Amino acid sequence: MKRYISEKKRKIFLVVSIVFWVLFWWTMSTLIKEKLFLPSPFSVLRALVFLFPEEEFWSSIAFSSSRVVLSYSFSFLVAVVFGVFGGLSEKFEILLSPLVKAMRSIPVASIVILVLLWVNSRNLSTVVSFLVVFPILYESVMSGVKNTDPLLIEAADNYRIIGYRRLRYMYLPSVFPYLENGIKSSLGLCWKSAVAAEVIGLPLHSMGSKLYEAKVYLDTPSLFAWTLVIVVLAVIFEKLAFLLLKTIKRRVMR
Amino acid sequence: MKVNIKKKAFGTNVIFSDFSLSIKEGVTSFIMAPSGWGKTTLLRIMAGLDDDFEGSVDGKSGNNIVLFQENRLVEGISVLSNLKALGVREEECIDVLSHLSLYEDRYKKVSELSGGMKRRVALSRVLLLSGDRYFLDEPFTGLDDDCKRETALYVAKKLSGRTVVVVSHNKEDSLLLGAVDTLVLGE
Repeated sequence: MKRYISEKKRKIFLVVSIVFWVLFWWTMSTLIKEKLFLPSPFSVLRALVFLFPEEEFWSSIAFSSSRVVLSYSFSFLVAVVFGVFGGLSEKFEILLSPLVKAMRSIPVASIVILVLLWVNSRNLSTVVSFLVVFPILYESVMSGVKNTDPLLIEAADNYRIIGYRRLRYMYLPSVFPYLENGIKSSLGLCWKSAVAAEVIGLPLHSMGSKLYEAKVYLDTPSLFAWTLVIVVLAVIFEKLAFLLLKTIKRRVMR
Repeated sequence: MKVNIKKKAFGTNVIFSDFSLSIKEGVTSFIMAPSGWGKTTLLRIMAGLDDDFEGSVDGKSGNNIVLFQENRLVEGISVLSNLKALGVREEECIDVLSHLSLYEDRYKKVSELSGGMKRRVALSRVLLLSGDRYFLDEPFTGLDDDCKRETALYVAKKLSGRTVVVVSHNKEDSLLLGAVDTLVLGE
């Protein structure tokens, strides 16, 4: 689609749009006049300011973030290895397909409750995010391997390009764009599913349990504040991941 | 090397019937035929890439290196990386690239190169590998006359004393490569 608005104007318009929606929120909250249903932006900001000096606030962030990072890195590694095997061997792909399809179609809530039977609540979110993220990354790596030009592969066979060199120079350049898309669509989900798991499993000092407490005490401003914190964290992680990916890409695609 | 094709067909389309050919070892043979005659098919059969035919090819065992009709390069990575994929030393890659006037372009991505440059990268790859026989399918596609002469001389020098089979529709290539045998087919 052709863009008619310049990059700079787009940014300005975006800021204006954000201001518009915050004003809309504020108007609605003054009309409703009930903090319980819709707190005003100011009361959310106040709740956030009260959270900042608390040690519990930072330890919850540390607890949940570390689990997201751990779970995502692990999913990534497993997905790359399995994705390469799945892309190269149709039998391997078929072997895994029922499992991967199940992971993709079972609702997160069911996964959470099932997994809670197997592991304790402290590690629940790690396992749940793995189950959500793995299929996405696995399938993107596999598509990349599968879509490597067969003519290129025939040439690689003829030139005896095997093992590491084959993966590095023939498959990786083809997999990279697929992997980028996989990361884009799974990183946000990793956060969402981890927090959902925490809300159900209620591990101590986690962001999910804080959300739950806010709900129990009918403290809607805190609920909004925590939600805001989670969204901001997810965005920061996404930016960091893309920065890392860009660095890796520069090294791989040369 | 002896090629004997009783029948080769794609579906109902018969490409070769009762076709035979012998290739001398240690020299360059040139097979000229017009477009659409089946040069690529013949080359692939000789190199052992295609065994879906009736007949036999004697003396094709060993390492047959093929310069494919298409360049078959990895577009997203550099010229040098495409060559390093072969597992040869970087100095050797640089040497071949310099002789084919690609030294300055070694860090460029293949996707940024012109058709003629890509062809020379594909040729470099073949020249860097040591094989028992070399099969070159239209080796100078997209090269202008001066560049073609220079490239052909280097290819002839690099592959002298080896068994080389070249297929092309351009008779001039035979002279440039100093082919010992020239077969003109399909006339």
